[in-house]
Amino acid sequence: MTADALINPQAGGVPGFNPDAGARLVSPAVGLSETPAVGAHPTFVVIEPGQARAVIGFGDKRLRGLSLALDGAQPQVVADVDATPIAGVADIGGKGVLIGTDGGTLLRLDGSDVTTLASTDGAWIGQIAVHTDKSGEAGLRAFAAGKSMTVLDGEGSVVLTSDDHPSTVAGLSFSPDGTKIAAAHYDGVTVYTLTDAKQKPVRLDWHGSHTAVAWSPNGKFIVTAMQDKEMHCWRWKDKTGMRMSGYPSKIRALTWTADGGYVAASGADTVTSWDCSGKGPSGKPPLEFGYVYNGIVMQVAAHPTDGVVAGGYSDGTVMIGTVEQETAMIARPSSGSAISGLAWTADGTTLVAADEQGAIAVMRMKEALVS
Amino acid sequence: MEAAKVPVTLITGYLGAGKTTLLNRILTEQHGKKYAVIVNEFGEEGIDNELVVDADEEIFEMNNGCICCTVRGDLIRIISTLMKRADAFDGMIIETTGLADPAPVVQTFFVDEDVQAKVSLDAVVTVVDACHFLDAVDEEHELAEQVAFADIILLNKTDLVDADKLNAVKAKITGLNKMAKIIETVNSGAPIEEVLDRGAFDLSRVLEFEPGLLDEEDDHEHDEDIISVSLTTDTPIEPEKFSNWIRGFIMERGVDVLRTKGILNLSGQDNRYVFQGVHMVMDSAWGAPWDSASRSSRLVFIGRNLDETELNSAFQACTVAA
Ligand SMILES: [Zn+2]
Ligand SMILES: [Zn+2]
Repeated sequence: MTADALINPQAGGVPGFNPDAGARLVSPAVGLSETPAVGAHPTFVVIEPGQARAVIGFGDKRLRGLSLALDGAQPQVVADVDATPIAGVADIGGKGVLIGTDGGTLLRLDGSDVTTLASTDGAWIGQIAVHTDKSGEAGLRAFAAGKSMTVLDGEGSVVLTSDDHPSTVAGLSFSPDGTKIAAAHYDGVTVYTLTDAKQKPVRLDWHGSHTAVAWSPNGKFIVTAMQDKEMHCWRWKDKTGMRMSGYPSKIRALTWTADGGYVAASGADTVTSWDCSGKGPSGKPPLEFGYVYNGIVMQVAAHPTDGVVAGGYSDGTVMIGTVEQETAMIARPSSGSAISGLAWTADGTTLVAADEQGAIAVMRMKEALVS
Repeated sequence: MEAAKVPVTLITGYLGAGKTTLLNRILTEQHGKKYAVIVNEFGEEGIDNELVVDADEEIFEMNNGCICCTVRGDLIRIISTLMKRADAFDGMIIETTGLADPAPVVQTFFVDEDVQAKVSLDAVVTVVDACHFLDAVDEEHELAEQVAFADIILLNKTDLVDADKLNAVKAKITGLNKMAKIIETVNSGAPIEEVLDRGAFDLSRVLEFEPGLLDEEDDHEHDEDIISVSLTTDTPIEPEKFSNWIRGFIMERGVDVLRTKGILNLSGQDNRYVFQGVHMVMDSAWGAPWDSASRSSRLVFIGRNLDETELNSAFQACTVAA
């Protein structure tokens, strides 16, 4: 049972958009401001609560912050770290930033203070995940280094640790209720129950290298991106697997729309979104928007509330589109440098993108995206 | 505006052959240049470099069901991450374990988009211990594979063998791989310029063969052994016939074919058509124009279970005369 739909590269294009005319105008619905390239490679973009600041990790071992006030501010170095920050997510309750480094340290940035929460024998911490519980104050942190994965509680005590994976862990995702965590690796995903140590982990098998994992916000599906230019989706209830293939490029990023209705992915020349209402994406082709001539989607980020997804492309273009209507607008024109980080503010009014040269684009929505 | 790709040198060879000695020689002699070194095991000999990354040798099959279509997942992750660092590397050097199959490493550079975008495989350098090679090659099939994959072979420790044994080792190596350049060394002391910046996988430099290597001295090995087969014709090749044949052959027999290189005189074309392959991964481009003198098509396969007679008649059947 597969959803083997071939992607139609022409579908979902911007109406009236002629790739040869060079008419790459930013939509009047978007206020774009952009900072000059830093000259270092961004590794992640995280937006702090209150939406005052975006924090961007860079390959020059620096964390830079950018005020989102659109007042012409330039990125400022917030902290220097002693290894390259290679993974970053908002920390528990959205307060601070959790960072993994290629020096094997798990760091927490608070303001401009960096503290070390955990460290390995030097193995790179390339995967991290955070769960915040209903109180908004407490939660869990997870990190993976090599084959090993560890979950810590808010106080830093180990909740669970496992190295029973056939390869390096390439992705981590908490279930929306925080009772489970999924670890992606070669040949599948391992799901651990955090609330009951005696419960055996569940292995979801599918041959090949799984390089990212995302649990749907409604808890019904686990989706992975694969080295093999496809995605895999398991329905958690009965562990049925579904294959989503036909991509021209490998899939680097996945994102779920806020209601869990669609999972959107990079890897094509449009943003592709699979309908995961009901039993899952089987038998249905993906919806598409935002065709970019000679571009491939590198990053995707779902809007925090609406059925809207942002896509960052290999040529530096950023598109914002409605999933179901398959319409798109240009939020940032091509810079020639691939988008390597993309994040929405919690209220969905502002999108921040960073390209490989270290230019940071702040895009303010002037009107509601879905009427 | 594409930045120059960082060249990657792959050093393979059996344990104790002198891989790390070669690596340290490169690092010492190229001082002032910045290298990232990726190793699979820390040997007894230390590595004299600021950045040494320990790899895990994670061999991932692509899910097309084929056993030869593999990549090194750890290298994809390591190289992609290293290329985000601010360090401007002059090169990367990967040293494999003694028993590593070079194919997954080599294929990684042709299969993964992120790796392909930032770095390029420069050459496979295999260090051979002249003293122990003849005994070891029959015991460990990986050793024959490492030689078969090589662009450059450092025939090392030549001071420890007499002339007869050295000739026997050379004959064995040539039987396995007619394409590689053999450099005889003591203590891995090869001139660095003969090891680095070779562009061995650069299609514009494919088959700049030294003529001697193509002389047909047919010393047939057993069919299950790795051999090199080189085919030539002066009659122009019919593109469609050739394309159909080579695709079919590689689909069917790619598991057995370790490396392929070809330079073709396609009928009606002024330029050379060059291609190369590793198992089932193929890469091709138009090369330099032919000069009027000779327009010989040349094709080399290195692999197992290759029947030279059969391959030759299939190749000759692709000419316009056939
Ligand atoms: Zn294969
Ligand atoms: Zn024979």
